Amino acid sequence: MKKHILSFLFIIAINIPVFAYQVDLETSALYKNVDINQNSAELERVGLSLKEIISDETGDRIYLFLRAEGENNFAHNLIDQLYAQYKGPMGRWNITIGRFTLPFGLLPNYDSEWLLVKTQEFKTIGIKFDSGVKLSGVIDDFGYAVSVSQGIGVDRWADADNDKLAVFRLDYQGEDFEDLRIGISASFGKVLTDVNSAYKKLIALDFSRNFDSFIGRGEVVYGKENDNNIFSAFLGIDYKIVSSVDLNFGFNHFQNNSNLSTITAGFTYNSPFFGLTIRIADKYRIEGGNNEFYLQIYKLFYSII
Amino acid sequence: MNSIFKFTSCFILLFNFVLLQSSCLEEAYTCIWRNPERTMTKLFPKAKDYKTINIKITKEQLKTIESKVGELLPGQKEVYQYFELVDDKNKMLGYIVAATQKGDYGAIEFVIGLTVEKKINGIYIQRARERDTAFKKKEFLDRFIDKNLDDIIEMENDSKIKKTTGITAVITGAKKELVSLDILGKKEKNKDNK
Repeated sequence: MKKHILSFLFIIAINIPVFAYQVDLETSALYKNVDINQNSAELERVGLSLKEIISDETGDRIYLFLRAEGENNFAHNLIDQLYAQYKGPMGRWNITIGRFTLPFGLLPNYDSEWLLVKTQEFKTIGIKFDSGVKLSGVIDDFGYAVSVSQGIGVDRWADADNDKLAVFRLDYQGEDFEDLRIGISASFGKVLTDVNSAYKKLIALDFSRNFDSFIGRGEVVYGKENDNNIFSAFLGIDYKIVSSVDLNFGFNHFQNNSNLSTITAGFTYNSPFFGLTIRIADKYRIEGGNNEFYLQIYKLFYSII
Repeated sequence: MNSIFKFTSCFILLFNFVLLQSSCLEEAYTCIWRNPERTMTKLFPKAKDYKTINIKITKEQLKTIESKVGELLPGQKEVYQYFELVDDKNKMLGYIVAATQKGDYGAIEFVIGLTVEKKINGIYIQRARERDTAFKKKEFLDRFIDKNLDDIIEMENDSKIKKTTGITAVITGAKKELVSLDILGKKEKNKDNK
């Protein structure tokens, strides 16, 4: 019912004369090799984003956003995001209703979904997108966000229980965009997915910083999942060695009942051939010595209409 | 063998789709503006609201713009986007444009604030990976304040300014945005914001 209501809003918005909209289409193909012996290749992901802005006489008032994805040769198709956002003056406050990105850790400002160096949200909070309501905004150098949502992610629309998920975030950004950004987040509530159901109480610290040719990002999460303590650490560094090539490095550590630590190293090449991006990375698991090799070809189509 | 066949098939599918999109064959130089409100309030502290304006560029307009500033980069030839800012009395305060130029190490993204008289009131660098950082320094960016298009053209021709890639990109980008806003903004006075 909720997705029908929001879809209906979209159809209405298309017919409102005062609007602007943007369409993005992304796609990637992925080859994976595990420990030399196991190979796989697939159309990793196709993602379509639609964004509409509805303005009144003085300003942008309502953003409508839809993001749908087909994953793993279209074996798994879902709507990641579908929301309406009412904008207050100059972004000081915004109310978002629908399915949106949770304001936890690095998620609001960094998306590793299409990259080979991944952040840890699926291990820590368990989900990346959820359906509910969010209040967020920017005041001077500080940003804030509070959300209450179903805690069920994107695998279903109807809530399976009455337990909700609350997420809070506060961040500080230096004067320029490249300056240090630090954030503190907390989440409380039950997360229910197809593979896991857990009560979680988590706190996260995150940072990102540009140093000319370097970009560094990090996140530390600590808390409880049911009765177990969990700890997560992520560090990602990108270094631009020439105009079209970035070196990428990632360290991931997750501790629950057992430890899982990986080091990922690779590069990204923005080729001049049809705007394709080629990413290669090797991920080494420290416990067990497993090795995974990835080759990804990625393309973004972008237009404003 | 099966995996290689699947990967090759996926690649051919992707490649054919790319061929159909002739406008997407090159790297697109568009500024995906992150944190717009943060920078907007720095450039216009009295702003109460802002509106996104997207203008489709006609072939004639593109020809006129490129005759003044040179060829536009891929991704900048079809649609021109800028923002109008108003105060609490709904009086127009100025414009903001998000610009992208080519650097030695990828795109240089920056934001330009313009008064209603089309004079620059500030420039903020959003993202750049250049080794030479002279163009990010306050003493360079402050040189643009209160400057109009004629002043920017003077800067472009000023041999006393050491023209690194980054400095050239910011001067060229500012000139391009002022010319584009002048040509395209005029046409939009009586049109819907579309």
